[in-house]
Amino acid sequence: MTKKPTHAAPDAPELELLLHAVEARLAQERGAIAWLRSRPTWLRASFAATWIMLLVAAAGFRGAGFSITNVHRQLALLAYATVLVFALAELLRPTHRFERSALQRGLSALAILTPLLVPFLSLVAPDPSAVARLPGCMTVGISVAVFTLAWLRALDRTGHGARSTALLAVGVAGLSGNLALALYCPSAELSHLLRWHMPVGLLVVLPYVQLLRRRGARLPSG
Amino acid sequence: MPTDEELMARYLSGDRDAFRELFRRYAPLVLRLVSRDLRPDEANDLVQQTFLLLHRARNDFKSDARLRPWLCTIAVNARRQYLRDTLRHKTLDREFAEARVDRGFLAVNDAEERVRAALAGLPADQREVIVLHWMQGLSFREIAHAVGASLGAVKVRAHRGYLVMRQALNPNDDGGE
Repeated sequence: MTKKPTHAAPDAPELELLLHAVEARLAQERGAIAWLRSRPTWLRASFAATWIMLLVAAAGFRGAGFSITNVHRQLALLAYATVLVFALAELLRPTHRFERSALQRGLSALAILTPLLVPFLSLVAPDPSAVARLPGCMTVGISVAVFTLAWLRALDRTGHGARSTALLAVGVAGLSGNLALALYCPSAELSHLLRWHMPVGLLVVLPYVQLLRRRGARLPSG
Repeated sequence: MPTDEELMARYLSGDRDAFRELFRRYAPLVLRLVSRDLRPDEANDLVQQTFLLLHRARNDFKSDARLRPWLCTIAVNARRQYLRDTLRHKTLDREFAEARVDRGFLAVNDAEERVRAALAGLPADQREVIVLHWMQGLSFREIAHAVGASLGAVKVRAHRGYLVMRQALNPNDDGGE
């Protein structure tokens, strides 16, 4: 085994053509989104975390607030925040780090499943003092999720060009929506949570998956 | 001749020529790295994508880092995502296995074809390590960084892969050291 196999290396004109194609794509790298995507990873992560915290805090200020005595809300906040931190760290992983697809799949599943499971915590931690719920939970949750998804897409270097990344981003967006609702809505009533909180993530996932399918192209053109 | 890292530093300070030089230096390597089992147009797209991602990630590059494993990891990730998104990794493995049986491994005379067939018969993780080590000339440490495995795991994969390759290419060889 002394001879290496010869591969058809591109000749000079082919190489120059490829270079021109790359330079043409680099020439389109202008504007705010290009600037965001080229920031160092720690800065992109800070931007993402700050954005999500602002949206969640705004929902909290408008709604039930931060005086969290409800056990269900405490557990929900803890569950959402924990998964959110890990999912966000993987989502904004530096481009030159090895991609752990099993971890990414696991976190995507966890991010999507957590909002489906958390409402059932109200069965083990009932809160009879729950006050009347605020209207528009789903509107608030979906708004936070959609704004989060748009921001995450702007920060993602492939522009969610890879389906696995897009799915994880949707999971993070859904978690953000539910996290916001955990501060916005004081209700621990299972039927309310299942009807107006839980579907937030799914209602973002399904249209986004359809959009990605329709888009078809997977190369990061932005 | 400037080193890769010097070129990268110049590129970071806005020198477009430094990027062109890096491209000319590394595009053939990246093309070889991503082109296995793909059509030429797909491989060319992945080369473009790799350098576009290099551009977007340029501010993550540390001055004391080495460019080659850094770039190889980006290329390997891009290729894996592509294969996963197009659901081709399983299909490809099956095609390889079928091709190996159909064509009759020992009947392939051309050395390159024999090597390709032998590589195709390896598990994906071993094949990846062999390609990076033997064909791209990366050190085991660089490969470990590129594929996200421990140094020990990479050496084991390489050892097993080379053993299978040797047996496949020299059926009379008993594999002894």
